[in-house]
Amino acid sequence: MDDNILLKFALDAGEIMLTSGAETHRVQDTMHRILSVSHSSNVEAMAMSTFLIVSIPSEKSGSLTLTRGIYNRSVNFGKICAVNEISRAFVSGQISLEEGSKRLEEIRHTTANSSISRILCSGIACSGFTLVLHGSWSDAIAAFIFGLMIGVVLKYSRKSKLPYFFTCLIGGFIAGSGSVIFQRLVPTAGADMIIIGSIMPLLPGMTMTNSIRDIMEGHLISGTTKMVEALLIAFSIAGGVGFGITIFGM
Amino acid sequence: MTFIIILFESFMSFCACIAFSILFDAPKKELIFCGISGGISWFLYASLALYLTPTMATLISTVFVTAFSRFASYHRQAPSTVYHIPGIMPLVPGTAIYNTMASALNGTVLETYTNILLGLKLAGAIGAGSILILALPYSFFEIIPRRQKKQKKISAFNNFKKKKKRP
Repeated sequence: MDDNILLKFALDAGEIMLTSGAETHRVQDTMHRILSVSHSSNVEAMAMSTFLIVSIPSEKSGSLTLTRGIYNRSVNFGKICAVNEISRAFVSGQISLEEGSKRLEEIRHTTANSSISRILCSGIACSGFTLVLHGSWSDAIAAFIFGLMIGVVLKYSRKSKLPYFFTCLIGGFIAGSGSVIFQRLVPTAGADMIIIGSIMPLLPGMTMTNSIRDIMEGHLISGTTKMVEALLIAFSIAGGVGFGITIFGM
Repeated sequence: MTFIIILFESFMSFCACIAFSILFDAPKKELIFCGISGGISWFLYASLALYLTPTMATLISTVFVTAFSRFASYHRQAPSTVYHIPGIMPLVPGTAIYNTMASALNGTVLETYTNILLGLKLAGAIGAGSILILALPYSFFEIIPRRQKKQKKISAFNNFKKKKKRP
């Protein structure tokens, strides 16, 4: 088994998992297991929220180390599941290294759901959460429209690689201004229900949960940086909503 | 009457969490379990909030959702995050964030601090509830044995033995 290909395989697996929003300790565990297939001792795999390091002993040159920086983060459960399956199959010997690398390349270039279904689902999620929080049916319809708009914003920000907190600012602004305008048109509507429902797809639930899990596993640096990220996102959503309300509520 | 409202809300939570999982690109065969996780969490939260404080209700429903996600993770052979995140989503303190912002805009200082404190308490309750279950070892969730997957694993192991060597 070629050491360089093995290192690259482990790094690719770790990179896909980390950019899809897996917890740091899960990434580290997966990379360590992959490397332990060929080497029994002195294997080191390290994952932080922004970079990866893998190192194995080599017969020719003493030791081999590779690092890679991670610059974008999103949420994609499908990729996490797929990489998990591949690494499990590789460690138990069901697939070879070449086949595993090929499948990882395939996973990297797949986009699971079409953008139309994503935008629709963003709207459905918003209206559903508005109904959960005791909103009326007209509130739910308004939240559905704002959810569609936020879904479009999320799609284009992912394409043009805007910083995530800026996306949250725009999303919050849409929710805040839209619900204030809607309440002027329909006086019985509850503006706060619509806002709380519409900002649901932006809320940092995933980041917050992952940061707590990381801190619990002993990854203090990754955990605290993720917690700061969650706070920043929450503040930018609140800022966007406040901005929208103050401008259109006058 | 209250019970019917709670059931309706839980069903809406179920639908919303399925939509959420599609937004997060969850695999299609796991979608229904993501939805069930979200339904359980809101059903427990809403029915417990009638008798307890919101913090306690969040804590208890987080404990149950995390346990469910780990059981599902063992039986479906997928990472537990996939079921855990949609289940947590209805409990995330979005209301507290909004109320903090609204009261800060109104200039009512006392209300602002009360809402910040409530948001931090709810976030802490979610964290504590998750930790209580996640700290348990994996073998704890193997009480109910898998049926078909186990046989598959043995056959895969046999194949591996016959092939003998990896390149």
